[in-house]
Amino acid sequence: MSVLFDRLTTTIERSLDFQLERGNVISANLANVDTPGYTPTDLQFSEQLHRYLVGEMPRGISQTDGQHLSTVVDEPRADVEFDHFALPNQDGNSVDLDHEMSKLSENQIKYRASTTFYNKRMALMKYAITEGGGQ
Amino acid sequence: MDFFTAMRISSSGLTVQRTRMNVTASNLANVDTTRTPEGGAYKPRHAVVAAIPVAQTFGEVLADKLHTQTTGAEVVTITADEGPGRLVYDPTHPDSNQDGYVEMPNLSVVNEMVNMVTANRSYEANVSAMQSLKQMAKNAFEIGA
Repeated sequence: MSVLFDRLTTTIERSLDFQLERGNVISANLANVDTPGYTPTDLQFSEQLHRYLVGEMPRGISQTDGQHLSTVVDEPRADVEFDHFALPNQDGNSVDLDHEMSKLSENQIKYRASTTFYNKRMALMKYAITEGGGQ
Repeated sequence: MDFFTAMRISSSGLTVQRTRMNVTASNLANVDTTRTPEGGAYKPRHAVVAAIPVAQTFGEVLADKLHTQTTGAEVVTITADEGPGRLVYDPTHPDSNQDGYVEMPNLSVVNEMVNMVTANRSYEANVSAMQSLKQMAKNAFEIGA
């Protein structure tokens, strides 16, 4: 793990990936707002991502040699979950338009936050590389 | 998964809503049609919508099976309402039967208007989804700028 692209940078990248995928899932729910029998899905930040963030080893595996594969989960996946609380309407569709729209804008704001954070971090790095900007 | 997947999903939703709009327009235009090429009064049409996977490549199909279940929407068929039409007493009408009744299409203008409004709103929701994802893509392009 390099100094420039450390765990924090990777974490931001993961969060961008996650939000993009969540955006896709919300789009799918909105596309199927009139599909009979459709149950909306959502993504949850998974346990795996949490494990990745805290660098916890999966149970039963230990790294005893430098050449062993990393036991840290390096590709965290988001869990798809069905929204079981939504009440289906007459044709069995349970997409709640208002709920999906609010999730959509929430997701967009979070994505914006992540990209801004990433930019700030890069700016900080640039600042350090140029020795505080004083040439 | 990329930004284009989201665009494909949203555009499938847009197509569905536009088709529903066309079907509704067709029904409303034929609210008083008593003569059709297939004979009899106009039969109201209904769009049947189904969820379809949007995956294109093998990798995406595999990912879909294993993990995410993002689906677009598609109008699979347009069915005709085979129910009997409304009978209106009008002996002077050229299409009236021997008892003086004319068979009018079995459709309710109120239902069609409601369909039109919901299709319109759903269309807007899909446009918003696409715009939101476009904004996200723009933000991604700004990284490092």
